[in-house]
Amino acid sequence: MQEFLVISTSVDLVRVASDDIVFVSSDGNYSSFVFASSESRIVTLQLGQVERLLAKQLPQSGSNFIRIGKSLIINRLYIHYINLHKQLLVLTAGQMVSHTLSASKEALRQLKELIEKETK
Amino acid sequence: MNTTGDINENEIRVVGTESNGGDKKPFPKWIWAVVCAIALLVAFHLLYHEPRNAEPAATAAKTETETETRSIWFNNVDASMPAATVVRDTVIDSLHLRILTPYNATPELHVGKLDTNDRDIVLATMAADLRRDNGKIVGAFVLAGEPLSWGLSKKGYCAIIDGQLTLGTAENSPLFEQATERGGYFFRQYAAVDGGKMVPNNPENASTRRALCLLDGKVSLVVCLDRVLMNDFSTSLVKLGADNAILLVGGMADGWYRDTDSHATQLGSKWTKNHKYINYMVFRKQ
Repeated sequence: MQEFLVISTSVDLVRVASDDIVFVSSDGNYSSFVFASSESRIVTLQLGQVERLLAKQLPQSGSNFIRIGKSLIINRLYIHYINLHKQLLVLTAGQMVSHTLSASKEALRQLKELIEKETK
Repeated sequence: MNTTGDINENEIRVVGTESNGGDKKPFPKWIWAVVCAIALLVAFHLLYHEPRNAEPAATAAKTETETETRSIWFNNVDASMPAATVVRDTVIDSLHLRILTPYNATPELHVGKLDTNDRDIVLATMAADLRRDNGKIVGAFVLAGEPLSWGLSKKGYCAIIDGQLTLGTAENSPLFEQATERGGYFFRQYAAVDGGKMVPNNPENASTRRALCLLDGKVSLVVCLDRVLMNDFSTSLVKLGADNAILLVGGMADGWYRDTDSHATQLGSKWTKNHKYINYMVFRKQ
């Protein structure tokens, strides 16, 4: 069954299917959600708060999300390419849209190992 | 793989795997007693040794003694062109920088939702950060002479007094007080460049970033199109030739500019919420 993440404030509410979230990036007090449609939305939550919301509201699909360092949460469903030397992580949503992100080599090495381990 | 609490840049964590803490030993009671005692002492000290009035920034400004580095911009005026933003792209240290220079426009701050259809706006970009706990503005902020927020959180500042924009770095600046007295504007942000030298900040995550700079005697908004660490971005601003610069809200923060063809281009994502303290640096047609 599809799970939804709901972010509610005193004046508005965002409801999004968990599989539509490609990644969430942090910039201080803000977090930017990027969706499979390539649209994005900024919320006034820190990334740690977003992480806790994902864990709380998505009991089934929450484990699809992986926190990478202090600034990124990615949806592993969209991982397409990891390059340790270039410190690149490419997430692909559909055939036309890809997002090139960067992370530390060590974090990417752990991510690569995790994906390898789970596919064995 | 990290499974609990804070995370550093070299770690990853599957969401939801955080330990519930059931197997952790609680702190001994004596530690809590010590913490409470220290908290009481600090509270006592603050209560009887700090000024009680809520005007710390203005009061402190009067006793300002440290040397303050400032860059002052008078006007980006060019009578041969319309009120518009001129766009230049460059690459420094593999970082793609977009330099947006507003011409024939007056700087001001705006709080609240901004009208995206206002054709008099030449350039707009989110300015001061908001607190995550209460949504209020981080650091001192003055809007048309009215102080909305007090205190020092970041050493960089931007002041607009009598139409004159000043970028600087100081713990206390008399320009806060002047802004309140003369109907001006003032806000705090991270300092990036001070007197042509890079100002180091605590390393943060990589993100697309923006800075308000004094470049070649003109004020410009510099946008880094690549995700970059704060200090690397500040270094690139020094190499670009910035005399003074402060960072603005980066990432997907809302903003837009209108070029010489009067075509508007969005920066980041459009802000649709009506947040009480959302604030913008705005350059408006003179």
